[in-house]
Amino acid sequence: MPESLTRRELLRALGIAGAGIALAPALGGATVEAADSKPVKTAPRYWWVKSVDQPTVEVDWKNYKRFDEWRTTRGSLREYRGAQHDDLMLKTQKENLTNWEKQGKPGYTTKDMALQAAVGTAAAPFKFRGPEASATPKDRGVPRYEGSPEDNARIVTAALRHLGAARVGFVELDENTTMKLIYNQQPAPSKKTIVFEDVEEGSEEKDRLIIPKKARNVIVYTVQMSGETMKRGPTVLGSLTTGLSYTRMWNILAQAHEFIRSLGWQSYGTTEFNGLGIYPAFAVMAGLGELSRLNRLITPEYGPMVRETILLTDLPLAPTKPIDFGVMRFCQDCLTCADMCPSKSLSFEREPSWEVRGPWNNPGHRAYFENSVTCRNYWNQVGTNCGICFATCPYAQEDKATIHHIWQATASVTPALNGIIKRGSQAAYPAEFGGKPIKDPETWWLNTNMPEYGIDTMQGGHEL
Amino acid sequence: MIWVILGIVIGIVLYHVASRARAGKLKVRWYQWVLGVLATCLLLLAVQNYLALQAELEPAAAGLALGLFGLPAAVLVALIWAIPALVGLACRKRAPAPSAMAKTT
Repeated sequence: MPESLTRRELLRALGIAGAGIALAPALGGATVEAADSKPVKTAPRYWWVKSVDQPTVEVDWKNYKRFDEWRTTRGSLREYRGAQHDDLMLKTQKENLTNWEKQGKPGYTTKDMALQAAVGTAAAPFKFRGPEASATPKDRGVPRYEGSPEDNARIVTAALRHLGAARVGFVELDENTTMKLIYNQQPAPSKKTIVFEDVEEGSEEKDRLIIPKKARNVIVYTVQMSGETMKRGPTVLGSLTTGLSYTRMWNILAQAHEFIRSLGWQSYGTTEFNGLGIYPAFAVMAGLGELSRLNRLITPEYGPMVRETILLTDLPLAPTKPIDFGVMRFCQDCLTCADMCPSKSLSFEREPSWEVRGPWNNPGHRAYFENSVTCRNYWNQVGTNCGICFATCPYAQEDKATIHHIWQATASVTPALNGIIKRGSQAAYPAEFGGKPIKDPETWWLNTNMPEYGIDTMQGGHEL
Repeated sequence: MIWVILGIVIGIVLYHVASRARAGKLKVRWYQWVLGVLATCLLLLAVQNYLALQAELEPAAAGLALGLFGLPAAVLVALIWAIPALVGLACRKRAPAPSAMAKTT
């Protein structure tokens, strides 16, 4: 290009460049088509998220056993804390909620109660094989959908993202490892035993769920939660964060059932709330995130602000690998969640442990086990679930600001600066110990311009 | 839109400095270019983080980020002017005053 352009030369150069850009798609049509048919295993992720062969949580698969869901504090809390104490806690919860609504306590007002009632409404009912309402390919007189495992993984991911899932991963069940993450028994009161048998189709019986061995591919997906409501917890307003996410998650589950069915394949999901398998464990194995001091999932895209669930299918799916983005190392140095937990239920140990805290934990993996009973007692005192550990986690932020990318990338490559990152996070997002919401619940009602569902659906580098 | 405006402003400043330097009206030393680039990067980080954290509804974090990146940027900008001035002052102190020189001759 000449050193000094005349006006005419400049306009000519711009015209040629513009025509080139306009014609590129037409000239490169074949290339675009080829790229489209290329299998895409996963959506793009931040560069500091590394795929690894083994998850960052150590698992002793030889001694790991299938767990009964009803042994969690969801199903056995009365047994763990005693009937008398259980009655007292439930009475306290009821009285507190009534009194605080009458007093108009922020976060517990009638409008908060009304919204909580609304978000819990219209969730699709749990059915082992989904609604089974749509026509199958056989009904339509066409062959079932056939694709490579990679191609299938791609279309399932695309479909579930469209239905509202945040991120999707896949696990293949292996009798010696991942199959042990399927519950031995369903939640109370049904406590149905889950068995795998060599049958053509699975079925739900009075006392058990039969899953065909060929349905060994697990679809794992997360659903985002709103940070703005979570930071108003522990209150009724804060508690509806999980409420809305569950409603969306169960609706997506029913829709995913229908998607698989309509492709001509089988799918099996939970028949109870939190049934079928250990969701965070599957999410770790599928590479959706890492286990953390919360003893819950932390993802690179949304931090801990997700719920997750699974769906089993015989549709061949390419498994996704576990990831390492430095969370387990960061949790060693951070402890913000444990420090801020009003009931001191989270682990303060520097290293994760093989020792469980009670029968509500499943042994066989090295984790930061929590005291679920003291946690639940606190829930009763505040009338709702708490969520302070989630809300105060440094990873529980949106990702619009580059500072989030800078510190998360730094934490992933070196733990040396973890202490500085922790102090920086605490300065930027100040929180008081004692169960006080980080943000005033009443201010949430002043903002009429919140994003739909309170979440940013492009969060996590999806715009890249 | 903010990035378009910032890009235009940075472009105008750069064009102005470069043309004056080329015409010999302004002497820009190598370290002033380095400081200028660093200050611009920090300034852009300050603006991006401040606006993004405000959009994330975190005003406290936004203020902190503005200080974290904006203050070093301001210091660097000050140094671009201060270093030549301080160097000039030191040189003047080291050299004897013209009146004193006249007395000795």
